[in-house]
Amino acid sequence: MKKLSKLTTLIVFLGIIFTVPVLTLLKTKEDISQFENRELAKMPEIDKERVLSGEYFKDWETYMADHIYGRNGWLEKYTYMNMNVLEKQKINDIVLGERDTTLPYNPYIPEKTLSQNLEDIAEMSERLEKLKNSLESYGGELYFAGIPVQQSFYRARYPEYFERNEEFLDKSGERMFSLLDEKGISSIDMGKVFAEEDRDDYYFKTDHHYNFEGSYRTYREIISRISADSQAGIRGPLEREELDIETVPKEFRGSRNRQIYYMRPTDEKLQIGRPREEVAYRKLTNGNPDPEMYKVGEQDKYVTYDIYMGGDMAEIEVHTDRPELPNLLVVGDSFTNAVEPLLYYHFNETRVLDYRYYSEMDIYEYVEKHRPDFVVYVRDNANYGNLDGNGNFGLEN
Amino acid sequence: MLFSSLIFLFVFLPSVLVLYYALGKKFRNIVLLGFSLFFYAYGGPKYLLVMLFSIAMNYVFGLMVERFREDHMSAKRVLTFSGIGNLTIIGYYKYTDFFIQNINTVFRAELPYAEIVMPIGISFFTFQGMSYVIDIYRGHGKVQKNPLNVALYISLFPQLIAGPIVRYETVADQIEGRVENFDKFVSGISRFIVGLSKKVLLANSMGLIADEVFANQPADISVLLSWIGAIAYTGQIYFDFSGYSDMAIGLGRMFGFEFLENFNYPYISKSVTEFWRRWHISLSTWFRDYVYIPLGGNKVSKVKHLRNIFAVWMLTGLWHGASWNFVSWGLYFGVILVVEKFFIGERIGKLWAPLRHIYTMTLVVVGWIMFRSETLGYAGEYLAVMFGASHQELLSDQAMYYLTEYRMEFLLAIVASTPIYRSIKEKLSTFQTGSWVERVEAFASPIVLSSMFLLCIMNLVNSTFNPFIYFRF
Repeated sequence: MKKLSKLTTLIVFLGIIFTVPVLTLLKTKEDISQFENRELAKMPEIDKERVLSGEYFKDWETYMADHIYGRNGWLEKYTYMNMNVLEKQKINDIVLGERDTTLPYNPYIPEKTLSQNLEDIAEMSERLEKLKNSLESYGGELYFAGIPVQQSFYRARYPEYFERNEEFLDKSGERMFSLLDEKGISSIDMGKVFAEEDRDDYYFKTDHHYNFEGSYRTYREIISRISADSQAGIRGPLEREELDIETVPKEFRGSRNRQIYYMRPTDEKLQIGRPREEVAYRKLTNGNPDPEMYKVGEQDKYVTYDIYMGGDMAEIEVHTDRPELPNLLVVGDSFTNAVEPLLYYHFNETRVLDYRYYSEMDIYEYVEKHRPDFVVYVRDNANYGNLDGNGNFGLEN
Repeated sequence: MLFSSLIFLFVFLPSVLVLYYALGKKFRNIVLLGFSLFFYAYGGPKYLLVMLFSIAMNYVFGLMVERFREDHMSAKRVLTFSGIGNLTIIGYYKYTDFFIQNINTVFRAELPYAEIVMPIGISFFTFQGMSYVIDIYRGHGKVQKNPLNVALYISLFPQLIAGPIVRYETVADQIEGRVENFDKFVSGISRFIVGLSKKVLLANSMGLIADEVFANQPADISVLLSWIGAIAYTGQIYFDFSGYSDMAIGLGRMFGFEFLENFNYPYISKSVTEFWRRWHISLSTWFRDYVYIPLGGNKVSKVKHLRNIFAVWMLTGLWHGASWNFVSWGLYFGVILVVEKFFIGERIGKLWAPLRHIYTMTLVVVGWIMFRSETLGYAGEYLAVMFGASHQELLSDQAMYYLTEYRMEFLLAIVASTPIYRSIKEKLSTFQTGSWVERVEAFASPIVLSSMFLLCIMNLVNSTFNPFIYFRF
């Protein structure tokens, strides 16, 4: 019996250490990990310097970890174990919050201190002031729209003892808007708007973005402010009854749920809204014709936030050929995606830039070329002090 | 290369096993040596030259000691030169900047730092090299005429980077005449899996907590958090190092070697003296046999005896790292051991066992704070928080977070630091062959081991946090 037991141990151990590398070698290598939303390591190329420093072999470690046979299965089981056996509330940097909400884990020692962030916010406000002055030189106007991130909106849903980053987010927000006021920049604080309405359904529970309700409310606020402040002659926001609001029947897969291998059950659905009274438009994405605002058909089995405008794009143009209306430029990251399908309705030409991807022109060159009447700069409250990407407007450092 | 890496488990280990057993007895040492050198070069091939130089030097000194065996004075001179040679290598790579730093501090000088990168495992392979020459000098092992055998002894990959420090006399015969068999191989597998689990499932979790707690300034942490950090580090260093030793011993067995034990449940000790009989045994015995006893041990005057104790403990501290933190840590234990030996040892022995355990673990944990802290100032402030001398708050969210999120790991760590598992195994072994207990054990054992191995792989695929504390030394 003991011999059989030992033989089993031997066979299992040798079986695993010999089978896994062979299967790894045979398996088709993937370039991207959908679950982790990142590129997987490429096979290391031999290089004398890297061999001598030991980096070449480290690259092989990374390559092996990224391409090991059954990787997704290993990761899935790890997540399951942590969630259901060890009963952890933080898995893969995702916190399982109250009411089935998935939130990001905030380390107790933040990567960036509040004081550093406040300094960067001061720098950001100066950049915005410079942009505002540049726009005003030809009659253009700048609006700053601040959007709370999901973990800020649902901060009360963090389990006890977890860091909620309240002080960081609140003080950063206060400083941002007070500096914008000082500099005479029109601002829209969606955090305040949401808070005043006492609703708790503006965001997805399993994704880091707002849902249709949150984006629609944001759209309303932006259009209301522009139409009220300016003499542009644009109509007020589309009312709910002026929209065909459709609930996409497919399963919704949120970005935070993805990080935990969709193990958080959710009945969330994604909604889209189209103006009942249509306005003809020509839409270009990165210069190519791309007529759809919502990419419903492209996602067969399930849908993600990328349904809005097809996800993050470097440059989008929507032309309605109504020269009597003003032109709009929106600058921002993925929070702009869900409002764009409604914003264009009010303008002759709507352009959207995401400086994380767009590199052809900096903002000043772009503005000089297209002369938008309004620029709406959209930023989430975790990134008010982020001077990179959309915080840099494509300018060289 | 780490034992707890996917490359080791799925590329290096299967390759070495296949070649070792496929090529036949004649080539086994060559295969092991080749893989050992690759194992070392993996982290940065340029430091392989340092180890090869150390091997060559000790090989020559070994031959010379043997040659002058009849001429005692000459043999002793060779031994002295070998000691100087080995200490020069380790001194240059490990202590140059520490020396410069102290010169600069004492003389207010501004000598530039040499910024020498220390070859990994230098403290281990240097001590093994010294052990080779000393053991030949003492007649505790035969000289190796074949340089490849010396190279294999010093560079043997299971114990190369983080020990245990295998003394030459222990393995002298095994280098040429070891026996590999089925039972030894399977027992090696079991031991390797146990060590890997200690490292991956416990040490890494404890290490994550300790790193996050010690990233705070002491002024920013609560009393409870300071204790959680201290206990987590206490767990990390034990499971990390003893896990490595288990893996080394297990791998050694797979290739027919028998290394001596390096740990014997140190956290169940009831005095600090006992703790050091159970912790890093290969280092303690190395210093005992190669430093303490040659200095006269306890067979000298009381003053010299004290000198010998403090010399050993200062060197123990210095061996761990070139900083006053480590020296102070070594001397701290030297003082405690002297106090136990000459003053309170007997009285402690009469105390209620749990009290003796609390006494020991408190002193050990305080020692680990000195060991873990970047500076002595940090250690002092941290200890002040732990013992309520700094008016910090008692609880904090961060402390409660670790307690709730890592409760299973803490519980497992506590159980795994005691010999409960060993006792159960011993008890089971008393049952008759063929009894139902034996059958259940035989059935469960491969399932438990395989599950542990799969859990480790699962964690390794997921996690990038996988440091080995003793790789620094």
